[in-house]
Amino acid sequence: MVRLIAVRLFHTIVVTLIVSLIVFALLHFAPGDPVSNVYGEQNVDAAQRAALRLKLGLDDPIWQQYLNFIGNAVRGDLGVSIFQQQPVTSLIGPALMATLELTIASLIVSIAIGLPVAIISALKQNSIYDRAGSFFALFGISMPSFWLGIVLILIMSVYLGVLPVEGRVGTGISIDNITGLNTLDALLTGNWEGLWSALLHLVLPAVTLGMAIAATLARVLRSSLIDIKNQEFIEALRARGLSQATVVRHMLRNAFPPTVIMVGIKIGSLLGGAIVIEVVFSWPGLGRLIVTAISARDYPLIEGGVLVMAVLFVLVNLVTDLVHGVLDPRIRVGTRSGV
Amino acid sequence: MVRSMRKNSRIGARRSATVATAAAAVLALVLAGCGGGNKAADPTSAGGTNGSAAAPAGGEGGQLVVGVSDQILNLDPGLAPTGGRETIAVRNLIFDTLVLQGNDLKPVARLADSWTNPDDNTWIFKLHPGVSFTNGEPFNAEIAKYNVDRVLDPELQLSYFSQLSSIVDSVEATDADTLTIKTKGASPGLLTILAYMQMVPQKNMEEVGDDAFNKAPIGTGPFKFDKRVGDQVYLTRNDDYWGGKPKLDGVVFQTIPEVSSRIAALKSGSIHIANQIPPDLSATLTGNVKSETVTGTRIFFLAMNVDQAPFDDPAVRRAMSDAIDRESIVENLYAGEGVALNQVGYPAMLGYQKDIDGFAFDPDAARKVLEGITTPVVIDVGQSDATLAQAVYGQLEAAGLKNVTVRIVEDSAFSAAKEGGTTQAYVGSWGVAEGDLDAVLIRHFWSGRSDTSKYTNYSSPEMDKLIETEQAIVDPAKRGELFKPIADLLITDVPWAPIITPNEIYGVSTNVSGWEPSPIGLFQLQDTTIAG
Repeated sequence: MVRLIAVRLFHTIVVTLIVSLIVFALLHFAPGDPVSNVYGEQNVDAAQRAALRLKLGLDDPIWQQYLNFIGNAVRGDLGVSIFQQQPVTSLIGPALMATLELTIASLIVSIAIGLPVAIISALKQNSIYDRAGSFFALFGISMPSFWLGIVLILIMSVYLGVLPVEGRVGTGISIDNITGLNTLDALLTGNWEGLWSALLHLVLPAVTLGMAIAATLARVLRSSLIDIKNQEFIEALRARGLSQATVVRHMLRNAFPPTVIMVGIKIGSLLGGAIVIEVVFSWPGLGRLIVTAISARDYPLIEGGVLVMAVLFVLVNLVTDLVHGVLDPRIRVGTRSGV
Repeated sequence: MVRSMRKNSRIGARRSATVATAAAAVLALVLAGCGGGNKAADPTSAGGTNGSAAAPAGGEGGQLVVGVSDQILNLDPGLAPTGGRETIAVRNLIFDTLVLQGNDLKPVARLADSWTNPDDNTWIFKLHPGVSFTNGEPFNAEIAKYNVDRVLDPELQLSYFSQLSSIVDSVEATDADTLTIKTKGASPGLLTILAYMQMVPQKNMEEVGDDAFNKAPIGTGPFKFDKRVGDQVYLTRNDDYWGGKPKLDGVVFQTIPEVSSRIAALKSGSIHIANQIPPDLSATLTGNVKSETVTGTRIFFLAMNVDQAPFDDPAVRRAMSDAIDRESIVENLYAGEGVALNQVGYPAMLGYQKDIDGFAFDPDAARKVLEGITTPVVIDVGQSDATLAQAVYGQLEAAGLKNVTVRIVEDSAFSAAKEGGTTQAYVGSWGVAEGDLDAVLIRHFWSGRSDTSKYTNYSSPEMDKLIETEQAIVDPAKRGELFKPIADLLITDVPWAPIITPNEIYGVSTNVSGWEPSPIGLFQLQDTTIAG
């Protein structure tokens, strides 16, 4: 286990370096110029533009810019956003926590929906429940999440007026910042009004994102459960007269590994890939931050943001593998294969 | 990053696309919304409009929530980037300027009660007496001088440095309430720059420094900065505002980038005003919300590179312009929400010529020239204006131009290409919030311009002379006449085929009163109230 973690952490460093190099090269070879975006249509003469280029270090050779960036990044300094005039870390931090909160909430939604659907479908294979479950899964997988988002907004916010559309908390509500996860912070500070508002704001984006994962989860888990249901050890368990609940628990334990892998990959992509949902629900997350930065050519913010995403992705995969190892002793390091 | 696209449909065909299924319509809406230029069908029209939840009400005046499309950037008025109009609007509530652009785009008094020009190079501003910043610091001529000097400081490289330093010779606080600015030459543009120069308190700025000030700005404006929470900026009323206490308790600006979400938030009552509503969605603003429209200040045009074939021939450029049916574009693409342009300029602008015929739709004249063109034509366009470019494309093809393509280019790459003067032709836009034709001329058609942008590569000694003559006069009435030959020359030379100035459309909750939309995106909220 320790060796696995050590090797994976080394991988993280390598991946981060490669990713940062690629991003850096792509950015600097792509047409477009942050200086021209900073001033937009404003009447600024060539001298002042040149002064800003100099200040931002854009006239240095690219390799030197890259070394400066990496050198500072190692010391935890990702530079200052060209557009927002704030340290990149102070912009990424809150955005990352916003994304994390949404990811966790959508995972909870997906498990709350996907798990029961999978179990019922598998136990009552080919029944009307199974068919309904399959229909749900097909619907969940095939419908684009932004479409679901807009439809949910229309129904829940515009027509029924029960759930908010935009942002993380209602206007006028302030939650003391401890962890950056609004719901947790509100809970810790006993801010019930804030907690309620934060939860309400989470519902629509979390359900929207969670539905797609719930659907995949239901499909993957159902087929694993059906595989296991027909194996001999389950029959043996039943023959011993164990209760249905205990049998299902044993089935689940054996069916979890592929599902965990799948959910791990989904989390990885959620951390960076929920951009459309973040835009639809005005959720100030990491994806939206980086997309805005890309269109403005805010080099330090893009580089820092992508770096953080890459690290996260690798770490999530590491955690997934560790959990997999806990669930399935056969793949643990040392017993069968290496990393 | 660059994708080519050919499209056979004409604009007439676009409308029939709205008879798609509800799902396809919503899908198109979101796709278009993410691209910025939202010209798709409307998701909310299907099921009626009975938005329900009551708007958040505060004390007597309540808290007004404004949903804006763009993020709010620097609140220190000097720091670059200056930010979009949303950022400027927020700052304009926290700070005051010496003069303000009214809704007719002409300068009106704000911190300066009045101003005079004893001669063309001298501006004397009488400042409003007894004004103070919200931290108690007094505002007077010394502070105004500090503010102008701060922008003029070459070390700081603040937002309006190169513009201001090119015209201002000296600044003097003649007495406590009198500020005198001497310019290097006659400078009709000074007031426009001052209208964007928000006054900051010297002592506080020097005590806390730029960074801290940017995080917690202090001004003399009708509202005070309270805090930023994520995408929201909170302002509270300045009870002691010298121009009269505002009625609202506070204002919140919230960034909601996606237009359909902005409309949904408006209808659900969680915001009171939404900006940047595309024309084809304004019809859905019924029931507890309405749309408010004001003439815009942005000019959309087809620019042609006068150095590249076939546009090195003015007759071809004229034929391209003749092929564009502007009225049809206004009616079909913008749902009538805009002004078809027969010249470079919109009617409210100084320099607009009421009495010239200008550009008009003449398909027969266009066909005679365009049919003979064999050179391939590529029209570049940024992502946000792709629909307009496709409409123009359809009209050019209908007028007999063969071998024409629209190339949609990522916005930043598009800026780089047009500023480099490398595009053969492009559909683009230019904001003229200054309300003065000169603002376009000096950036696009004057060889003496101080930045390095090339655009159409247009250069004409005759034009340069006309522009320099117009710039040497301060009196707007006299200048107005000098723009006539310029407008005529632009119609003869056709570096641009101007198309439309779209209206600015806002969605407003019906319980908001005392607010009117501004053509330049500012929010004047002193008299605004929220009912209920």
